[in-house]
Amino acid sequence: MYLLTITEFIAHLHPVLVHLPIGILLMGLLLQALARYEKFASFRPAIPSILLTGLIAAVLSCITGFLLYRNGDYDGSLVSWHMWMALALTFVAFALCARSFFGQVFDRTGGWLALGLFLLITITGHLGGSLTHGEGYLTGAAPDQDPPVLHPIADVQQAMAYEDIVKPILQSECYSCHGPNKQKGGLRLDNPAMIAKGGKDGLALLPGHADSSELIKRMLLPSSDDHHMPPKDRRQPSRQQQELLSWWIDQGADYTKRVKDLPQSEKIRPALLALQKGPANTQDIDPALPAEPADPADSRAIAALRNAGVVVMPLAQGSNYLSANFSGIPAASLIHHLLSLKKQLIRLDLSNSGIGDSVATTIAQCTPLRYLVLSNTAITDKSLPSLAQLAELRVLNLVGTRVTAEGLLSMQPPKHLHAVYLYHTRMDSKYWSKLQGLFKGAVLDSGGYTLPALMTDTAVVRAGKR
Amino acid sequence: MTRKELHNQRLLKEAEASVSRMYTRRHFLQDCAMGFGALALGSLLPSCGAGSAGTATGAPAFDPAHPLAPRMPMFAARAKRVIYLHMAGAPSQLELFDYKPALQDLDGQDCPKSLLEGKRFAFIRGVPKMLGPQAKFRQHGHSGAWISENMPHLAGIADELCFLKGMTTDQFNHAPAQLLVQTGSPRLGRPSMGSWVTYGLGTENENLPGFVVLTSGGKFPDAGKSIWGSGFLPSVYQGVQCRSEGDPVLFIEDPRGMDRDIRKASIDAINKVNEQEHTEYGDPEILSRISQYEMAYKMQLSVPGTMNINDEPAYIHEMYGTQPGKACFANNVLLARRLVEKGVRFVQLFDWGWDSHGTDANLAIDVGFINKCRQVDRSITALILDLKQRGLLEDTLVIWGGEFGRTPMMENRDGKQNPFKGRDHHVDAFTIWMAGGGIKKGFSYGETDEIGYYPVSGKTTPFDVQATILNQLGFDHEKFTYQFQGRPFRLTDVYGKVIEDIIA
Repeated sequence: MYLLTITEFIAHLHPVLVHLPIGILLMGLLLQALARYEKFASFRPAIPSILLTGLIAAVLSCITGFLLYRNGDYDGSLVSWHMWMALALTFVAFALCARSFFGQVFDRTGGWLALGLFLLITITGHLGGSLTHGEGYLTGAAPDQDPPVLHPIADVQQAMAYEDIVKPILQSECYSCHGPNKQKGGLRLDNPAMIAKGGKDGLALLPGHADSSELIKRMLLPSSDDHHMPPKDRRQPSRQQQELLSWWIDQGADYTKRVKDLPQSEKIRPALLALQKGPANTQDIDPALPAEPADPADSRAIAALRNAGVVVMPLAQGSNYLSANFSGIPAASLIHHLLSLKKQLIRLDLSNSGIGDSVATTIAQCTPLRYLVLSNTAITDKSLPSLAQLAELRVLNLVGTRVTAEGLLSMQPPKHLHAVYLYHTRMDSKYWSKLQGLFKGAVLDSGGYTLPALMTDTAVVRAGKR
Repeated sequence: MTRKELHNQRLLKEAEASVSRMYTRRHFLQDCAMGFGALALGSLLPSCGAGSAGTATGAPAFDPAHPLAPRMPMFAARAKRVIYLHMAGAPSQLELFDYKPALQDLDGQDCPKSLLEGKRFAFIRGVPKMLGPQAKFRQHGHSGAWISENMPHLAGIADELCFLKGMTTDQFNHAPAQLLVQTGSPRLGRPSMGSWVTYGLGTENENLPGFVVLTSGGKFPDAGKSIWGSGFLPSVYQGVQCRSEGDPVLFIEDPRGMDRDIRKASIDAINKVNEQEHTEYGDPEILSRISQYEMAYKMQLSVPGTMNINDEPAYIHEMYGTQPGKACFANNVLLARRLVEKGVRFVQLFDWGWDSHGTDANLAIDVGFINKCRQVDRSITALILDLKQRGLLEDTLVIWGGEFGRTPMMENRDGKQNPFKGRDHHVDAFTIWMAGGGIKKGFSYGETDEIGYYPVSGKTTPFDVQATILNQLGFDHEKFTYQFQGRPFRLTDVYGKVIEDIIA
């Protein structure tokens, strides 16, 4: 933690002070416009003092603004336009104020000066706003809100490491404060020369040493740390983005090479491959939930289920996706409520709920369902074709049901299925290898584990003579 | 007037004064102003700040009438339930999972000065001798995990486990170290992990407690009942200790001569009085009390049934190696499976007897320690396999570990040779493992140096483990807080980082 010097401190008052001249001068202009009419003649004596106050505020704003400019966090044309406009504004305000003391604001010149001052206030204010909030803030295309839309990379190995991977990350996560319009801490990250130059606190990156590079170090600091980047109230880069940046720096922070020419560890491969699916600029999408959000489910159906003792819960705060746990609750008469949740249900536990094959068609309509527990129910092979329609299904628990190997062999396993639990079912072991061939990529667990009886289970070690 | 009477009078006066202070006009106005201000602020705040799309963030709302009602996690969870197997006393990593052949070469030699400088041990004084591994090791499974002969059953399921070999702590005595592992602070008074979890998620089976504790090994853990206490969280979240012998919960049976209907009638009557009290005073604690009476009534039926392992088939008993009718670890492990199957959120098992100092045969690394391993090996392995075959390991997180590790040196208590081979408490390196609940299988994270003294990579702390457990349950450990004494508290205090590398 370093302390601000006194001039820096004064400079930092600029964003507060600027509002004074805007408000006060506009007030003066309003009174001036009104006081032309006899009805508002009583306002006239107030005009000179209001304009004078506004002028003083404008001068103070100019001084603090100049100090802020000199601190070097900003440059580019935007800030110089802002400065010259502000100086012009102050000059016009001075002229108008001086005339007001001689009662000469209601003539033609006074009117032009007032109009000029109004325009200058608008322009200067807008430029100042663009500096603080980023260009395009007013029109809604603010960089903080909407990351630039990136397209998937067709073949990540052919992609340029910097141009296609690193630059888009910097662009979406860093440019708004370290880009052409603003250089917080004197750091600018929008071209190789500027990146190499670093900022006020030294080099931003040490090619070959990501862990010693300030750019990475600051991203890894706890978000509560003052030096954490991006600041904690801004959007945070995903873990994958951090990994990609670290990898690029570790490989020498080269600006011209293609991905295939750089060494790739096992660790970075998934992050690189993921770029082929889509940009790495979105926040980590919760892998346990579908990417696209769901509409809220029918609250009456949820209430009806809850009244019957079923635990219906959103899977996460702010998500409409649901889990429903019927475990141990007779479900046959409740199952029709699931149709009201069919677009939201991700996890469904019907264990020990006394249901049978008649519910399978209802369950099959819950298209986003990923996790289905049917253990200890009267489910048989007849349900399996319906269940096979659940395209998103990951886990299927059929423990303690009457399904058979033949039944499973006749179903087309859902694409993402990764585990099927078959303990206490009517499996015939002779079909086992066939089944495993069909359910490739999924773990089939028929349970029935036993542990051998070992001498160590019962034998006790005693101390020898010493 | 005696001294005591004077004292009582003074207390009475103070009480009266503090009551009347509440009713002065000034205080009334002040309270109103604060109250309205806070109300206004509360309704304003959620609309400030980016990204608050009308959803609650941070701590869950506490509903005193339904303290154990199920609640949603912050983000989609990988685990719904936790079984924590705490080996109280701290098992030796050097005879179980952290194989150090180089230590054998140093066996019997004086410990190098560099390892002792600036160090404090619980019992080692002066210069101790190094002690090589007192067990044979072999690699197991596709993952090639090194597991010693002390856990032959567990070795068979090496590919289900995820080892954390770079664990460290900063507490070298049992009680504070156990508290640190279970409550996030070495001092008394913080809520235990199980309390945090039931506070955050409630329970999906209202007929059973959300957080159950089972102990074995003949002794309580050194830190006492505080390691399953609720600290400053509402007391309904504290761990319910169940006994594996006799009544699972003391006084759970109705008294002789009282039938279920009379019990129901009496609880209804009590609750009616309490409801009147609540309409009169509006204290939420009264609602909490009403719900606890109702819960207790329901549990009278469900707890004895769940805690009775006799209805398990014989092959399950054989698999776990239980000893029905006795209080033993294997019975507790089987109970743990029954409890999570029924929807209990957090089951904590403490098994005492792992403190292998070498001061007597039971605490010798080559005698008592081996027996301890044999007592738990079969049942723990059975638990993992049983959870797996029932599909429960998908969303049940199992953690096994002690509160610290043991030294690569032989303990020389107070500078003298101990009668048996033993190791002192070691804070700098120990091993725990996890299984299920969205954690990588057949994986090992972290390494120690050639003699197992310090971690050289993948160093982790109890806070990191807690952060990871909460993460698997769907909570950001930095945002999951409870307001107490004017500041938000969290399980991991100001520490902890989710161990991303072990998440599947």
